[in-house]
Amino acid sequence: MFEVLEYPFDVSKILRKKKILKRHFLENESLVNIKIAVLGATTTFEVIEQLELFLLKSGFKPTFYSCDYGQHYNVVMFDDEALINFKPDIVYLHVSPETFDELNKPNISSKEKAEIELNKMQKVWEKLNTNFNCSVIQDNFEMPLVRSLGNFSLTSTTGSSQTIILLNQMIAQEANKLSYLNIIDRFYLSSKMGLDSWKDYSLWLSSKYSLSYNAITHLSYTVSKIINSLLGKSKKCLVLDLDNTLWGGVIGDVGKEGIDLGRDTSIGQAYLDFHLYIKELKDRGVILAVCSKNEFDTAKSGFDHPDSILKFEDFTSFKANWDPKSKNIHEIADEINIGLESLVFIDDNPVERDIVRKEFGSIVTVPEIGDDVVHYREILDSADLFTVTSLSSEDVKRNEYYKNNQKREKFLSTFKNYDEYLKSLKMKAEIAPYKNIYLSRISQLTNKTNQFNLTTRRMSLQEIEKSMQEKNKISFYARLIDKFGDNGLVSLIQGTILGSEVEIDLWLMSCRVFKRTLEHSLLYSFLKEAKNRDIKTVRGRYVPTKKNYIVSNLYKEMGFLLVGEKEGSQIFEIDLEKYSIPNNPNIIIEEL
Amino acid sequence: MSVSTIIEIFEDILDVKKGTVSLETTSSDIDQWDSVATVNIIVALEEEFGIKFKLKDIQTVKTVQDFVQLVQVHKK
Repeated sequence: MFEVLEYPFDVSKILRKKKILKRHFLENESLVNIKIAVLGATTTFEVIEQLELFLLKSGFKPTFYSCDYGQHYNVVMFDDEALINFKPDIVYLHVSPETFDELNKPNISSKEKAEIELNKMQKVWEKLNTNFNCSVIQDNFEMPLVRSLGNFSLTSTTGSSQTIILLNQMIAQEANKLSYLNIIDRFYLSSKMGLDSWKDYSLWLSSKYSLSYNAITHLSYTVSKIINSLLGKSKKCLVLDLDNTLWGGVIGDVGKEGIDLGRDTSIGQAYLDFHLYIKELKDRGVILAVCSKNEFDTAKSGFDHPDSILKFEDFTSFKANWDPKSKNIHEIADEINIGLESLVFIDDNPVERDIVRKEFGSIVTVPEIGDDVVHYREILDSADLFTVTSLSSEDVKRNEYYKNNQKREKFLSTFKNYDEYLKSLKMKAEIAPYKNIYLSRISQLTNKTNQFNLTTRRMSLQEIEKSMQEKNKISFYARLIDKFGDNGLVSLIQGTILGSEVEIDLWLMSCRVFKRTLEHSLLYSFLKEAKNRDIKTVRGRYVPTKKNYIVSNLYKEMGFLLVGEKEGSQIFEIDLEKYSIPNNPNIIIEEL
Repeated sequence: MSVSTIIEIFEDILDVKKGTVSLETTSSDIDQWDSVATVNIIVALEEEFGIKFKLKDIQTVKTVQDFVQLVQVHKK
């Protein structure tokens, strides 16, 4: 039933099944609470209802604050009490050309009109950031539906089309400057759907909705994707079938020479375009995997086809065998060491898609791409599954990291014992206090690390920035390099000092460097710094979640004593005066 | 177009048990049937039958029967 919420949408079904879907999702007990203020220049009822469904589907349980339409700026600027008490995690500002007061005034230049509107927005953004330290999601503007200047509206220095273009550009520039500001690109969404379908003038007249219901579905979906991304829940890995998905024909029957791929045929061109698109995804950090019913060597040979853009090496995991795909999908997730919920499965065969949906429910995402290559790229693109709100250099390098991990695993099998292996990796780590250049990576790690994470504390860029200025904090990051390459910034620890005690409120490590003893090095550095600051007791907390069992014994293993339990979490302590801090023989600490 | 499909759409959107909605039902008979639900019903009917109501038609509908007639008129 929940596939109605997968792109391409069935709006009529969504409208009819909203209540039932909501009840179904609310049965899930592990939903994560989140508070969202939706501030609308126009009516927002339907936007909120659909946004709620999309968020419930991705594992969130949102509560909403909303204001009367048109009050979106006032409730912020005049400190609406209900909004202040609500303390939103995220604020979504929903606007439209209809509410852009100056848009059609004839005697003001486009630039001036855009600046007036931008100025209002800037004040609201600043106020929101000061009051709530929250992420802000802001609509940009679609083109006006009617233009009294007609085609000349774009060229005229007072034209409404020109004004919209200028304003959108200014908003984008602001979003590049302000890390908490994220834009919903209504300009693109409306262009893709076409303004005639995007707008519904009757609905505007009768209910003050600035959009058609069809558009509301697409818009709320995009808002939900941005929220997922802000909270580290975007998809990470694209799992691809081969025959009739990445090339035309069955390679086992027609051989490498017989598959349809390349400029010679129109269908072959479509597969080539799909390759190019997937390569672009890979280059911006999406991990690729193959899951195909084929002989391994035959499957692999397809990528030796002279027109194949994708190469065998582009895939971090390559499963070509006759096992059920669900089994292979489990293995792919294990091999790459990411959760099943990070996977997107692409297969032209509706039976395989159905089996995977049945096996994994809504955990693994299975876009309804159909069986016509002409649509694959567009559907995957519009499903917008790998949403990012900023690109950190780590994203771009991610594939390389996982690839190097596989080399390490092969290398490991040549050693008699693990210690010998660790030594041979020739690991070096840089451990230092948080730096500004790493802010986005640090925030990203706090928001998406689930396994090696003692407190699962999520932190926004602003919170981290703020905590860096506080003197009673000890915060260290670790970068790790070994003979196979740079693993990047992969681990964090931070504590708050109170008198002669320090409490570790965050300690996490990316799964790509599990079992390398980096946690020892990072903790030792932290303890040394604590000792330097005359700290006597170090306290740590383990807050159990469904995913962090792996660290349930970590404090004990590191020599801490269990001193009590509080609200479901365990409290551990170490007496620094009696504890001599060892060195980790496996990792050299230096500036990298 | 079938009357039973239209009634199902009403029951789905108003989130009431099967058999609650009849042709004579009006918005005052069902608590959940507020102005927001009315907009939902109108859009769902338009999407389901590929039609577009006129603004002035929507302002006069009261019973489910009125909606059925409206759909019939537009389907022609």
